[in-house]
Amino acid sequence: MSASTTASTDFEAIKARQQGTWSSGDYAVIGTTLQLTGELLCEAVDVAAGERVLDVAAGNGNATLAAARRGCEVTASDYVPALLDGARARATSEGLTIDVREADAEALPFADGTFDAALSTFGVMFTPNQAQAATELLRVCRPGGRVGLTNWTPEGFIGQMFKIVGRYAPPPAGLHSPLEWGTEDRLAELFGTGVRSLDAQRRNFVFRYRSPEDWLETFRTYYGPTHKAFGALDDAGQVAFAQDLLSLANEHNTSETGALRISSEYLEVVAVKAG
Amino acid sequence: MALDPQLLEILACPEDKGPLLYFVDESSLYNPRLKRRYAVRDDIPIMLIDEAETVSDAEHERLLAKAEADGVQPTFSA
Repeated sequence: MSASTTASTDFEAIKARQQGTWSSGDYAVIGTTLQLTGELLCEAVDVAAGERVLDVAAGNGNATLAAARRGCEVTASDYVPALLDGARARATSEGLTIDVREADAEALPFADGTFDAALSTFGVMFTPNQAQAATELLRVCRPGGRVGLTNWTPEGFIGQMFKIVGRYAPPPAGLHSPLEWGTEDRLAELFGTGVRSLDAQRRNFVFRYRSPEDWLETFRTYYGPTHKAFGALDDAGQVAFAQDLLSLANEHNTSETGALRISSEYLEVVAVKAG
Repeated sequence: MALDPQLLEILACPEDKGPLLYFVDESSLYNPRLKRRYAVRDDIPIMLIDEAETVSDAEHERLLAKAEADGVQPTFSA
Protein backbone atom coordinates (compact mmCIF):
# COMPACT_ATOMS: atom_id res chain seq x y z
CA MET A 1 0.00 0.00 0.00
CA SER A 2 1.33 3.45 -0.82
CA ALA A 3 1.92 6.08 1.82
CA SER A 4 -0.64 8.35 0.20
CA THR A 5 -3.34 5.68 0.57
CA THR A 6 -2.54 5.42 4.24
CA ALA A 7 -2.59 9.17 4.70
CA SER A 8 -6.00 9.50 3.13
CA THR A 9 -7.56 6.66 5.12
CA ASP A 10 -10.18 7.98 7.51
CA PHE A 11 -9.03 6.10 10.61
CA GLU A 12 -11.44 7.93 12.92
CA ALA A 13 -14.52 6.95 10.95
CA ILE A 14 -13.30 3.36 10.67
CA LYS A 15 -12.59 3.28 14.40
CA ALA A 16 -16.06 4.55 15.25
CA ARG A 17 -17.58 1.72 13.21
CA GLN A 18 -15.20 -0.77 14.76
CA GLN A 19 -16.16 0.33 18.23
CA GLY A 20 -19.74 -0.45 17.25
CA THR A 21 -18.63 -3.84 15.96
CA TRP A 22 -16.89 -4.87 19.18
CA SER A 23 -19.76 -3.44 21.25
CA SER A 24 -22.16 -5.68 19.34
CA GLY A 25 -22.56 -9.29 20.39
CA ASP A 26 -20.79 -9.85 23.68
CA TYR A 27 -17.10 -10.50 23.27
CA ALA A 28 -16.83 -11.55 26.93
CA VAL A 29 -18.58 -14.86 26.15
CA ILE A 30 -15.67 -15.80 23.87
CA GLY A 31 -12.99 -13.68 25.56
CA THR A 32 -13.14 -15.53 28.88
CA THR A 33 -12.39 -18.83 27.15
CA LEU A 34 -9.05 -17.34 26.02
CA GLN A 35 -7.83 -16.77 29.61
CA LEU A 36 -4.93 -19.19 29.17
CA THR A 37 -3.34 -16.98 26.52
CA GLY A 38 -3.19 -14.09 29.01
CA GLU A 39 -1.61 -16.31 31.65
CA LEU A 40 1.01 -17.62 29.20
CA LEU A 41 1.74 -14.09 27.98
CA CYS A 42 2.43 -12.91 31.53
CA GLU A 43 4.87 -15.79 31.94
CA ALA A 44 6.56 -14.96 28.62
CA VAL A 45 6.85 -11.28 29.61
CA ASP A 46 7.92 -12.50 33.06
CA VAL A 47 6.02 -9.79 34.90
CA ALA A 48 7.28 -9.09 38.40
CA ALA A 49 5.05 -8.45 41.38
CA GLY A 50 4.77 -4.72 41.97
CA GLU A 51 5.33 -3.81 38.34
CA ARG A 52 3.01 -1.34 36.68
CA VAL A 53 1.27 -3.05 33.79
CA LEU A 54 -1.10 -1.76 31.13
CA ASP A 55 -3.54 -4.02 29.28
CA VAL A 56 -4.48 -2.31 26.02
CA ALA A 57 -7.77 -3.17 24.30
CA ALA A 58 -8.20 -5.32 27.37
CA GLY A 59 -11.70 -6.54 26.60
CA ASN A 60 -12.95 -8.31 29.66
CA GLY A 61 -9.45 -8.45 31.02
CA ASN A 62 -7.61 -11.72 30.39
CA ALA A 63 -4.12 -10.24 30.51
CA THR A 64 -5.33 -7.82 33.19
CA LEU A 65 -6.39 -10.66 35.49
CA ALA A 66 -3.28 -12.70 34.73
CA ALA A 67 -1.01 -9.77 35.64
CA ALA A 68 -3.06 -8.84 38.72
CA ARG A 69 -2.86 -12.48 39.87
CA ARG A 70 0.91 -12.08 39.70
CA GLY A 71 0.89 -9.05 42.00
CA CYS A 72 1.17 -6.34 39.36
CA GLU A 73 -0.54 -2.96 39.51
CA VAL A 74 -2.71 -3.21 36.45
CA THR A 75 -4.57 -0.67 34.37
CA ALA A 76 -7.08 -2.08 31.89
CA SER A 77 -8.12 0.09 28.95
CA ASP A 78 -10.65 -0.51 26.21
CA TYR A 79 -13.10 1.53 24.16
CA VAL A 80 -16.01 -0.78 25.01
CA PRO A 81 -17.13 0.20 28.53
CA ALA A 82 -19.34 -2.86 29.05
CA LEU A 83 -16.29 -5.11 28.66
CA LEU A 84 -14.36 -3.06 31.22
CA ASP A 85 -17.21 -3.48 33.70
CA GLY A 86 -16.77 -7.23 33.21
CA ALA A 87 -13.01 -6.99 33.75
CA ARG A 88 -13.55 -5.11 36.99
CA ALA A 89 -16.17 -7.58 38.20
CA ARG A 90 -13.86 -10.52 37.49
CA ALA A 91 -11.02 -8.85 39.41
CA THR A 92 -13.27 -7.93 42.33
CA SER A 93 -14.50 -11.50 42.63
CA GLU A 94 -10.89 -12.59 43.18
CA GLY A 95 -10.23 -9.80 45.68
CA LEU A 96 -7.95 -8.02 43.22
CA THR A 97 -7.97 -4.28 42.61
CA ILE A 98 -7.49 -3.05 39.08
CA ASP A 99 -7.71 0.34 37.45
CA VAL A 100 -9.97 0.73 34.42
CA ARG A 101 -10.01 3.43 31.75
CA GLU A 102 -12.06 3.94 28.66
CA ALA A 103 -9.35 4.69 26.16
CA ASP A 104 -8.36 4.40 22.52
CA ALA A 105 -5.33 2.18 21.83
CA GLU A 106 -4.17 4.78 19.29
CA ALA A 107 -4.34 7.69 21.79
CA LEU A 108 -3.48 6.33 25.22
CA PRO A 109 -4.13 8.67 28.16
CA PHE A 110 -0.79 8.12 29.89
CA ALA A 111 2.45 10.03 30.07
CA ASP A 112 5.56 8.68 28.34
CA GLY A 113 7.37 5.83 30.11
CA THR A 114 4.60 5.16 32.64
CA PHE A 115 4.55 1.35 32.52
CA ASP A 116 6.97 -1.53 33.06
CA ALA A 117 4.98 -3.57 30.57
CA ALA A 118 2.18 -3.01 28.07
CA LEU A 119 0.18 -6.09 27.11
CA SER A 120 -2.58 -6.87 24.65
CA THR A 121 -4.20 -10.22 23.94
CA PHE A 122 -5.89 -10.22 20.52
CA GLY A 123 -6.66 -6.53 21.03
CA VAL A 124 -4.21 -4.05 19.55
CA MET A 125 -4.03 -6.18 16.38
CA PHE A 126 -7.50 -4.88 15.44
CA THR A 127 -6.69 -1.15 15.53
CA PRO A 128 -7.09 0.53 12.13
CA ASN A 129 -3.93 2.65 12.37
CA GLN A 130 -1.36 -0.02 13.17
CA ALA A 131 1.68 2.25 13.12
CA GLN A 132 0.06 4.63 15.57
CA ALA A 133 -0.96 1.80 17.91
CA ALA A 134 2.59 0.40 17.91
CA THR A 135 4.01 3.86 18.61
CA GLU A 136 1.67 4.29 21.56
CA LEU A 137 2.53 0.88 23.05
CA LEU A 138 6.21 1.78 23.02
CA ARG A 139 5.67 5.35 24.18
CA VAL A 140 3.90 4.42 27.41
CA CYS A 141 6.58 1.84 28.33
CA ARG A 142 9.72 2.87 30.15
CA PRO A 143 13.05 2.23 28.40
CA GLY A 144 13.73 -1.50 28.84
CA GLY A 145 10.02 -2.07 29.43
CA ARG A 146 8.27 -4.91 27.61
CA VAL A 147 5.49 -5.01 25.09
CA GLY A 148 3.70 -8.37 25.20
CA LEU A 149 1.17 -9.32 22.55
CA THR A 150 -0.83 -12.26 21.34
CA ASN A 151 -1.92 -11.99 17.71
CA TRP A 152 -3.73 -14.51 15.51
CA THR A 153 -1.59 -15.63 12.57
CA PRO A 154 -2.92 -15.50 8.99
CA GLU A 155 -2.39 -19.27 8.66
CA GLY A 156 -4.21 -20.26 11.84
CA PHE A 157 -7.89 -21.11 12.22
CA ILE A 158 -9.00 -17.64 13.33
CA GLY A 159 -6.82 -16.12 10.61
CA GLN A 160 -8.62 -18.30 8.06
CA MET A 161 -11.96 -17.38 9.60
CA PHE A 162 -11.18 -13.69 9.11
CA LYS A 163 -10.40 -14.35 5.45
CA ILE A 164 -13.92 -15.72 5.05
CA VAL A 165 -15.38 -12.80 6.99
CA GLY A 166 -13.49 -10.49 4.63
CA ARG A 167 -15.09 -12.13 1.59
CA TYR A 168 -18.60 -11.49 2.92
CA ALA A 169 -17.94 -8.17 4.66
CA PRO A 170 -14.99 -6.54 2.88
CA PRO A 171 -12.83 -4.43 5.20
CA PRO A 172 -12.45 -0.69 4.54
CA ALA A 173 -9.99 0.16 1.76
CA GLY A 174 -6.49 1.24 2.69
CA LEU A 175 -6.17 -0.80 5.88
CA HIS A 176 -3.54 -3.36 6.72
CA SER A 177 -5.07 -6.67 7.76
CA PRO A 178 -5.09 -7.24 11.54
CA LEU A 179 -3.52 -10.63 10.81
CA GLU A 180 -0.30 -8.91 9.74
CA TRP A 181 0.35 -8.47 13.49
CA GLY A 182 0.68 -12.25 13.44
CA THR A 183 3.75 -12.08 11.16
CA GLU A 184 7.30 -11.35 12.26
CA ASP A 185 7.99 -9.19 9.20
CA ARG A 186 5.20 -6.77 9.95
CA LEU A 187 6.10 -6.62 13.64
CA ALA A 188 9.69 -5.72 12.74
CA GLU A 189 8.31 -2.99 10.52
CA LEU A 190 5.94 -1.67 13.18
CA PHE A 191 8.41 -1.60 16.07
CA GLY A 192 11.56 -0.94 14.03
CA THR A 193 14.40 0.59 15.99
CA GLY A 194 12.11 1.35 18.92
CA VAL A 195 12.89 -2.08 20.37
CA ARG A 196 16.14 -3.70 21.38
CA SER A 197 14.77 -7.20 20.92
CA LEU A 198 11.68 -8.85 19.52
CA ASP A 199 10.87 -12.48 20.21
CA ALA A 200 7.93 -14.20 18.59
CA GLN A 201 6.79 -17.69 19.46
CA ARG A 202 4.13 -19.68 17.61
CA ARG A 203 1.56 -21.13 19.95
CA ASN A 204 -1.82 -22.75 19.62
CA PHE A 205 -5.00 -21.98 21.47
CA VAL A 206 -7.54 -24.80 21.49
CA PHE A 207 -11.15 -23.78 20.97
CA ARG A 208 -13.61 -26.23 22.53
CA TYR A 209 -17.33 -26.21 21.81
CA ARG A 210 -20.08 -28.81 21.99
CA SER A 211 -20.17 -29.12 18.20
CA PRO A 212 -19.18 -27.18 15.08
CA GLU A 213 -22.76 -25.84 15.05
CA ASP A 214 -22.44 -24.69 18.65
CA TRP A 215 -19.21 -22.88 17.75
CA LEU A 216 -20.87 -21.22 14.77
CA GLU A 217 -23.86 -20.12 16.82
CA THR A 218 -21.60 -18.71 19.55
CA PHE A 219 -19.49 -16.73 17.09
CA ARG A 220 -22.55 -15.61 15.16
CA THR A 221 -24.21 -14.31 18.32
CA TYR A 222 -21.34 -13.03 20.44
CA TYR A 223 -18.24 -12.32 18.34
CA GLY A 224 -18.45 -8.73 17.06
CA PRO A 225 -16.88 -9.17 13.60
CA THR A 226 -18.89 -12.28 12.66
CA HIS A 227 -22.05 -10.96 14.35
CA LYS A 228 -21.85 -7.74 12.32
CA ALA A 229 -21.03 -9.52 9.09
CA PHE A 230 -24.10 -11.75 9.46
CA GLY A 231 -26.21 -8.66 10.19
CA ALA A 232 -25.11 -7.01 6.95
CA LEU A 233 -26.02 -9.96 4.70
CA ASP A 234 -29.33 -10.93 3.14
CA ASP A 235 -30.82 -14.35 3.84
CA ALA A 236 -28.97 -16.11 1.01
CA GLY A 237 -25.72 -14.45 2.00
CA GLN A 238 -26.16 -15.53 5.60
CA VAL A 239 -26.71 -19.14 4.57
CA ALA A 240 -23.60 -19.16 2.35
CA PHE A 241 -21.50 -17.41 5.01
CA ALA A 242 -22.63 -19.90 7.67
CA GLN A 243 -21.83 -22.82 5.36
CA ASP A 244 -18.34 -21.51 4.64
CA LEU A 245 -17.65 -21.02 8.34
CA LEU A 246 -18.92 -24.50 9.14
CA SER A 247 -16.79 -26.04 6.39
CA LEU A 248 -13.73 -24.31 7.82
CA ALA A 249 -14.58 -25.53 11.32
CA ASN A 250 -15.08 -29.08 10.09
CA GLU A 251 -11.76 -28.99 8.23
CA HIS A 252 -9.90 -27.94 11.36
CA ASN A 253 -11.84 -29.99 13.87
CA THR A 254 -9.74 -32.74 15.44
CA SER A 255 -12.35 -34.01 17.86
CA GLU A 256 -13.48 -37.61 17.47
CA THR A 257 -16.53 -37.26 19.68
CA GLY A 258 -18.77 -34.88 17.73
CA ALA A 259 -17.57 -31.99 19.85
CA LEU A 260 -15.45 -29.21 18.40
CA ARG A 261 -11.75 -29.11 19.17
CA ILE A 262 -9.79 -26.71 17.03
CA SER A 263 -6.22 -25.68 17.54
CA SER A 264 -5.77 -22.08 16.36
CA GLU A 265 -2.30 -20.71 15.84
CA TYR A 266 -1.25 -17.37 17.28
CA LEU A 267 1.97 -15.45 17.69
CA GLU A 268 3.09 -14.66 21.23
CA VAL A 269 5.32 -11.60 21.05
CA VAL A 270 7.66 -10.08 23.60
CA ALA A 271 9.43 -6.89 22.54
CA VAL A 272 11.81 -4.98 24.79
CA LYS A 273 11.82 -1.23 24.36
CA ALA A 274 15.14 0.30 23.40
CA GLY A 275 16.92 2.81 25.62
CA MET B 1 -16.17 7.52 44.98
CA ALA B 2 -12.92 9.31 44.24
CA LEU B 3 -10.30 7.80 41.95
CA ASP B 4 -7.24 6.26 43.58
CA PRO B 5 -4.60 9.03 43.97
CA GLN B 6 -1.77 6.66 42.99
CA LEU B 7 -3.53 5.79 39.78
CA LEU B 8 -4.31 9.41 39.08
CA GLU B 9 -0.60 10.10 38.96
CA ILE B 10 -0.31 8.30 35.66
CA LEU B 11 -3.33 9.86 33.98
CA ALA B 12 -2.66 12.11 31.00
CA CYS B 13 -4.68 13.73 28.23
CA PRO B 14 -4.81 11.26 25.31
CA GLU B 15 -4.18 14.12 22.88
CA ASP B 16 -1.31 16.21 24.26
CA LYS B 17 -0.22 13.59 26.88
CA GLY B 18 0.04 16.34 29.48
CA PRO B 19 -1.34 16.34 33.06
CA LEU B 20 -4.97 16.90 34.01
CA LEU B 21 -6.86 18.53 36.85
CA TYR B 22 -9.16 16.14 38.68
CA PHE B 23 -12.34 17.60 40.12
CA VAL B 24 -13.63 14.88 42.42
CA ASP B 25 -16.95 16.61 43.16
CA GLU B 26 -17.67 17.20 39.46
CA SER B 27 -16.49 13.73 38.36
CA SER B 28 -14.32 15.23 35.67
CA LEU B 29 -10.76 15.54 34.50
CA TYR B 30 -9.75 18.80 32.84
CA ASN B 31 -6.97 19.67 30.41
CA PRO B 32 -6.54 23.46 30.76
CA ARG B 33 -4.19 23.65 27.76
CA LEU B 34 -6.77 22.36 25.29
CA LYS B 35 -9.79 23.44 27.39
CA ARG B 36 -10.99 19.90 27.19
CA ARG B 37 -12.97 18.04 29.82
CA TYR B 38 -13.21 14.26 30.29
CA ALA B 39 -16.01 12.70 32.31
CA VAL B 40 -15.60 10.07 35.01
CA ARG B 41 -18.51 7.63 34.95
CA ASP B 42 -18.90 4.89 37.56
CA ASP B 43 -15.27 5.48 38.56
CA ILE B 44 -14.14 4.90 34.97
CA PRO B 45 -12.46 7.91 33.36
CA ILE B 46 -13.72 8.25 29.79
CA MET B 47 -10.42 9.14 28.14
CA LEU B 48 -11.66 9.22 24.56
CA ILE B 49 -10.95 12.34 22.53
CA ASP B 50 -14.27 11.93 20.70
CA GLU B 51 -16.23 11.93 23.91
CA ALA B 52 -14.42 14.85 25.54
CA GLU B 53 -16.13 18.20 25.83
CA THR B 54 -14.49 21.47 24.86
CA VAL B 55 -15.49 24.09 27.42
CA SER B 56 -16.24 27.78 26.95
CA ASP B 57 -13.81 30.49 28.04
CA ALA B 58 -16.04 31.34 31.00
CA GLU B 59 -16.11 27.70 32.10
CA HIS B 60 -12.36 27.48 31.64
CA GLU B 61 -11.93 30.47 33.99
CA ARG B 62 -14.31 28.94 36.50
CA LEU B 63 -12.40 25.64 36.50
CA LEU B 64 -9.04 27.36 36.93
CA ALA B 65 -10.43 29.41 39.82
CA LYS B 66 -11.92 26.27 41.33
CA ALA B 67 -8.62 24.40 41.02
CA GLU B 68 -6.92 27.31 42.79
CA ALA B 69 -9.58 27.50 45.54
CA ASP B 70 -9.76 23.73 46.11
CA GLY B 71 -6.02 23.21 45.86
CA VAL B 72 -6.33 20.80 42.93
CA GLN B 73 -2.88 19.82 41.66
CA PRO B 74 -2.13 18.49 38.15
CA THR B 75 -2.12 14.66 37.94
CA PHE B 76 1.66 14.77 37.50
CA SER B 77 4.33 17.40 36.93
CA ALA B 78 5.16 17.55 33.25
